[in-house]
Amino acid sequence: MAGTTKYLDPKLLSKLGNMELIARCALQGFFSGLHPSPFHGFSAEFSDHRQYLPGDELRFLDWKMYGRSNKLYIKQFLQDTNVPVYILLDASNSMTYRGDSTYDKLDYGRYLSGALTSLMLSQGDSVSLVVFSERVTTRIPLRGRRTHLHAILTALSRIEPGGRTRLADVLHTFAETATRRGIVILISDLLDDGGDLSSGLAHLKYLRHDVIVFHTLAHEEITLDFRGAVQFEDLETRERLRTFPESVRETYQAKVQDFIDTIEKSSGRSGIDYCLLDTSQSLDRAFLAYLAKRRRLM
Amino acid sequence: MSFIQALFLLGAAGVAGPIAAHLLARPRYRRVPFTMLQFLRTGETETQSRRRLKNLLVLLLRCAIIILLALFFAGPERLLVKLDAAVSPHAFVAIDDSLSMAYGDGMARAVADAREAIRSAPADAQFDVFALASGAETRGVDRPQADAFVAALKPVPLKASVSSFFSALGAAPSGAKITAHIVSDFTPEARAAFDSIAKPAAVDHYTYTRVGPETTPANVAITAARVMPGANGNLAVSVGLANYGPAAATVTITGKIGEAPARDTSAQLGGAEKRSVQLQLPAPQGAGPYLPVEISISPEDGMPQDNHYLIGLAGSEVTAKHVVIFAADEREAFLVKTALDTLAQSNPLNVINVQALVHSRFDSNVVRNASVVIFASAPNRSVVGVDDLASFVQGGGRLIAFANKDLKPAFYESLAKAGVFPAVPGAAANATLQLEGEFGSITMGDPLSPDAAAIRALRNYGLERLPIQGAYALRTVDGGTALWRFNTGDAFVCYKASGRGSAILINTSADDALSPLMKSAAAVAFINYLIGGGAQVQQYAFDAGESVRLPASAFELAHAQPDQAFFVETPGGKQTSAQWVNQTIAIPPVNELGWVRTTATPVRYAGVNVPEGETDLTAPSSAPLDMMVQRLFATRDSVVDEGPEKGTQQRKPLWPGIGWAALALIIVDVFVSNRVTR
Repeated sequence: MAGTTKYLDPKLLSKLGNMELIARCALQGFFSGLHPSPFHGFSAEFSDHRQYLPGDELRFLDWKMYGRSNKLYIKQFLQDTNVPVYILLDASNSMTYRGDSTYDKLDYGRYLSGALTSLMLSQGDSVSLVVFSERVTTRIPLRGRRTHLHAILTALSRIEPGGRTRLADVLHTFAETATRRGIVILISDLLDDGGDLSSGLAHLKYLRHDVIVFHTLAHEEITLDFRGAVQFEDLETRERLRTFPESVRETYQAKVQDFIDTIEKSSGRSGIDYCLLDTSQSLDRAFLAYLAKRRRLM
Repeated sequence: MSFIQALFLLGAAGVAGPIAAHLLARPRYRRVPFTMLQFLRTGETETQSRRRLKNLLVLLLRCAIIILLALFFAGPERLLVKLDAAVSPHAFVAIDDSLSMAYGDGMARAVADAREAIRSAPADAQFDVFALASGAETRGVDRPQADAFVAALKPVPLKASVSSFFSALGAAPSGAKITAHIVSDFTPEARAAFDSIAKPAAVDHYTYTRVGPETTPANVAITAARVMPGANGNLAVSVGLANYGPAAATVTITGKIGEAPARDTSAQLGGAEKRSVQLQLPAPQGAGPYLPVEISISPEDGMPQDNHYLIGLAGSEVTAKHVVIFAADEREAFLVKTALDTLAQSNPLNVINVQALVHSRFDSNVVRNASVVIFASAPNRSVVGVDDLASFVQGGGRLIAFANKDLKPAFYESLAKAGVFPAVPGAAANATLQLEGEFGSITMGDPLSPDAAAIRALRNYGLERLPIQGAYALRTVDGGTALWRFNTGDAFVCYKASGRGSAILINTSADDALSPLMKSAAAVAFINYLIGGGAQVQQYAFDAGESVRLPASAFELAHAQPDQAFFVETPGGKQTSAQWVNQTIAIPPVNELGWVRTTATPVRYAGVNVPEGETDLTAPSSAPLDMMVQRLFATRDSVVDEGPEKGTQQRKPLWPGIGWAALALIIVDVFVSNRVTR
């Protein structure tokens, strides 16, 4: 049992408190929940009037309006629903980079996945976990029961990192196999090995998923904070490169920033939430900052 | 271009420093697993190549600075000369005819090369040809004469000397076109000769040819030999061997003195090893005072000339002195015996047999067979035969007695009464005494007159500074002489000749000063002085090219006149006249190997040997050789329309420009170095 709760940080969960992750877009759900549904139904919250059309149910006629205006109007109500949440966690070799942080990027993603799962299940949403590297390696199906948390935490603890990142392929594959629209949370360092990441994300967006990208990077990956002569060895390709980091730091940082900016801009254009997470920062702070931002945007 | 101080050019070797630093100071890379290499790659490739370029630039700059500084300190200058068409060109040819050129076909190749150089000179050229070892030269001759001179050259067992060649080059008419050509094997000895030239000679063109083996050949040589005292009446010859070859070699060393049987020993030498080997040779008895010693090694190699070494010995004949010491006990005899043993080892031909006995073992037969009898202290009168001792002295023996603390007056008085001892000890005086007078003034009379060397040796020890506590007042008897006195006037050494022999009484005083005297550094010299040491043996071995001296015989010493001529036989078997110089017979330098001997009897010998190192055929490296020859010459630039007056030379210094260039590069280096950041 200890293994399964490893990636469920109690400190983080206590900080999450009453905060809710609410889909910004209207999503279709099976059960009542906190997410707004496109279907106007029978909830308590009035939404709007519309003209009566033949075939409408008479019980939704606003008789008071008819009394005042002698016209037939139908009352419409907002309907709350639960949504499917897909957590896509990158488990390629590059995610094992830790740098000087406490956790490597994969562990960071595990904690984040655990926290999100707990949050979503507590909201009544159903959660699916998809672990991938070159292809999808683990897929935990959508469930909304509270006991599903255990299944997901177990899966998280059993992830074996390996392989290279084929993010675009994985996103396309996932988009084609995800039968229900929902929230897609992508946790990855986005170091796609030659694929077109933006097309993968666009595919998801085309299918009207609400996509959130948590871009996890180690601090050293952003700043190249190394000194002296260093031989870098690529965790995925085993390629080696000798350099003096001080001499290339400026160029590197500019290129990394350009990379981040490109993803952020393309995400913004597609209506995708993008959040850069530095693994040297504590997970709760980054995560809570995101949630606060998300709530402000609602 | 020539250099004022070409030695500073060696400083250019300092470029090895930056190059070594560049190669050795390569960074050690720390291995770090990483992910985002695609962002590193582009920048890194660009930066890496730029950094390499900058590093290379800095390296080149620093090498250039070092070279320029070396050039600056070497003081380069340009020699300008306007040739005079009326003066015919001069071709200087130096050909090394030293002994090392005899190896293989070295001399033939050298002659062929020199003749070719003569043939390729301008038709109107005048030739100055120098044979570097023999010293033969021909000056201002035409081509056929120069060619004939060179063709007749043979190697001689001498070292090359280049001073005449370069002196002639320096005196050449500056208006003439001057070319120089050197042919040599450039062995270490030859290179040393060239290295001795301090000022480069101004020439228009120079060439050189190295002949001789391409690689260092196997060659073992005897470099020196010296005769020393050996054990058991033998003579020990210390033979210096040099293996000039690169590989180890085993040689057999054979030695022979006069007609005595030869003895040999073997030695193994590592490559390029030099060491000495001792060879024990029996000293021939009764062979006369002049002995030839021949040392040789086998097997023969490419240079047989250096496998033999000849020494002429001259001195006293091999004599055997039998010394008997009578002492109260072994301890008392030990000190005198030790001094005598040391003395026996210091003179190779002076054989001293020592026998130590206690007083009670006095035996007239022992005394009769002795040449010297020493009483370390006085025995009881009853144990010695006074008549035996008197007969011994009368027959030519030397009787020596030390008067010490345990004075037994009856012994001295009886021997004085027998006419043997020169003095009798009297009362003891307790005072600190010192010897008085300089040794140069001390003579020991005719019987000891050959002992001048012993007296001179004794003088060096400052025996007069030896303090002696107390002394007896020696009362001399008829015929007795006090040779040496204390500052109180009492005699220290008394002497008396008796018959063919003599007796000496030494006043070693009431405080038993025999021990401090015998333990002093002067003990050996003092004993030699007392027993009458033999003459020093002299060794006559010379290098080819040196003036040779031969010892004078006793007759010649007594009767030779300052302008008297002597005749000696040189190694070639020719007779030549010699001069009387400083009590020796001297002849001019001999250029052949072998014996020089007197034609008059007794025949005296002097060996003429190969100079040490001359047959070291170690092959030089080409680059240092180029540099060495380049240093010897300052190449002139012939100008036609400008520059100095016709026939005169002008030196145009180049070092200021080089200095400024070095300074500019230093500034650039500082700038570039600051830009290069890792």
